[in-house]
Amino acid sequence: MICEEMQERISELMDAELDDNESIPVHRHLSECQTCRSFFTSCQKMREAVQSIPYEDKRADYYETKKEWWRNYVRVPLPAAAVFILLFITGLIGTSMYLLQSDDPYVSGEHRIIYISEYPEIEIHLLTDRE
Amino acid sequence: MDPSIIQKLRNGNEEARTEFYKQYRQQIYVYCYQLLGNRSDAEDTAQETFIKIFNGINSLQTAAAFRSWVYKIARNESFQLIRKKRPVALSHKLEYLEKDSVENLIESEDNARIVRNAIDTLKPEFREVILLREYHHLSYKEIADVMKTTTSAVKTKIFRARKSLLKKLSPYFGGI
Ligand SMILES: [Zn+2]
Repeated sequence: MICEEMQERISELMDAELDDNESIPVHRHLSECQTCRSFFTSCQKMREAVQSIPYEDKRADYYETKKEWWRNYVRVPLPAAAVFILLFITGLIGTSMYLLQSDDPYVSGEHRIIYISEYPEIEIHLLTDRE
Repeated sequence: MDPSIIQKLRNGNEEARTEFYKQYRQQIYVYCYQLLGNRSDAEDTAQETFIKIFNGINSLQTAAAFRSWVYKIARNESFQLIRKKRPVALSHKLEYLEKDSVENLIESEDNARIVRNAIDTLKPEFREVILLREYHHLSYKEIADVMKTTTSAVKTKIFRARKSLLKKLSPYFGGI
């Protein structure tokens, strides 16, 4: 029973998850108990075996040749001016959300979406005039 | 990870992205490969992971959580693909792991195959903790973050996983 608990601690010891105070009794037990010592040795051998298996392969470098391939996929952080526009738009959307919630038939209807060419991920929702 | 690189990533600095990509390319690919079991899915998912990281870096709370955040994204992306490809429980995913794709890179190919087979036939949650711990060298806390569980649950899982592996391997490695 005590060995079972100790072996869990040995497992933590192997992973450097114990502080000095916590590891002292574990080391003491290891010096006294043959069973736990051989568990420890086996775990270490097993770790070596596990870490020596090649999971990686050469294909991991496959897109290294395409330098900075992510350029086309990653959003460019917005410059300050655009942040201002964004705030303005947020306000606009906020207002329209508010208006859309109201029961007024005039505003709860159509809106159209426009895009700024530089920032295609931003949608601007404009309420359209029914007239 | 150097906190200044994280700051640069937040600013969209291209050099920082290249630097980060170089440092993490291999481990993210390997992790995806370990979860997905085939190369082309792993390549796609690794690529998707980098895009998510670059685009989502501003949602990262603290620099200390960076590594587990990165692994969490790779894990989410991989699981999403698994769900998309096969609407089955994750416990069945071991069926389509490529069992024989180990190349002859270490002295004894047979030993590698035996060990790898032992890992691949662990309970999925055991397999995951072993891989994150022994291959990717994540701390218990980081593993807990990645797997959305507690540090003490991770501690127990790793211990049980080790015992289970020992049992599987003892017939082959007498000394173990
Ligand atoms: Zn003992």
